[in-house]
Amino acid sequence: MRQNKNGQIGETMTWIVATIIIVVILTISIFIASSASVLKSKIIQGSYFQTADVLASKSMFSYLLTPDSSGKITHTQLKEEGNLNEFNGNSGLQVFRRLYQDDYLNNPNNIWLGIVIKTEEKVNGESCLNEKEFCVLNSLENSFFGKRPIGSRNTEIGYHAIPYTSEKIKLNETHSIELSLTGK
Amino acid sequence: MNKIGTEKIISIYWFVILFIVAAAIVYMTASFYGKPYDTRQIEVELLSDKAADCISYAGFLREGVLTQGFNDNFLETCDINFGAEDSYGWTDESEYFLQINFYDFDSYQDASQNSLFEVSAGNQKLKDFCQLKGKSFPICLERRFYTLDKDGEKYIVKINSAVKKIEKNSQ
Repeated sequence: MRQNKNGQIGETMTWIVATIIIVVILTISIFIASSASVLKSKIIQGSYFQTADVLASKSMFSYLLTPDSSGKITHTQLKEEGNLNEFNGNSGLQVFRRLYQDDYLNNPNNIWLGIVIKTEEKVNGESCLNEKEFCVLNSLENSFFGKRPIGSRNTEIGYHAIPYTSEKIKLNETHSIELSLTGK
Repeated sequence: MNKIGTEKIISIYWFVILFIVAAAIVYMTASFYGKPYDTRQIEVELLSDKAADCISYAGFLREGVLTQGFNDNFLETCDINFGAEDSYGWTDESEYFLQINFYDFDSYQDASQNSLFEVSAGNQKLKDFCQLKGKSFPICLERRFYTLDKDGEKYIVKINSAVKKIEKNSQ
């Protein structure tokens, strides 16, 4: 009789504990579902893997049309000289670092302007003619913006591993001027 | 006899547990999917991009931008519609704000200095809330770009945009 009573108490305790566990798990789930950390993902932002910055792109166009004291525009200077000179290097700093540093983690190294050269080979040295996105782009260091932060040899695909915006304007068949903005 | 009674109690218990679990799942789903998507960040960026497109094209300021007439007809000229649906009193006061300041490039220090020219439209009150951060404040964006006019004069254009629409985006 006593043994039977003990068995009944044990069984009841099991059910009570099981019920408490179920209620606790549900409460935690409800709390997580309605907590701010989960709902934060409902804020739609376009800036993470964005590949264009409309305003920086406009600045880039105007920068390339800016004439020096002799009336020669920046695009022509870059085309003829192959890299940044005293005039367009300093005006590049004035335009891009001054206007966009705050937007890109307030780090001056996240703003880079310079010349990139298209090659016809992949990183492994094979031809990239059928897969243009794997073609290596070499970059030229300059004394105003330094080395390209994303790497002096990189491919279009390689750019998109981090939040990154790039604006390239052709100077000739192989050379382009690139504005790269990293880490918004 | 006793055994049948115990089974009845257990089956009632199971129904209660089933009901609790189902109710919790319904509540969790409703609380997650019931929250609106907050699209204001994208909206404010689009507003800023649209204004920039209207002001400058192919590296130069569009003709007539630095005139009073442009300020007076800014929204029509730029094809921007600040209208909103007739709910939460959104038609009484605009839910948007846009302000564009033009500065001389060479003398530009920071955005606090006086601008050469200013264009604005929408609900001016929203600007006052832009320093504040929180769910019940408008989303604001300040961006700048560099441009030239046809005479080669250099300008910095600062665009301040704000979107309120708190009721449908942030609950």
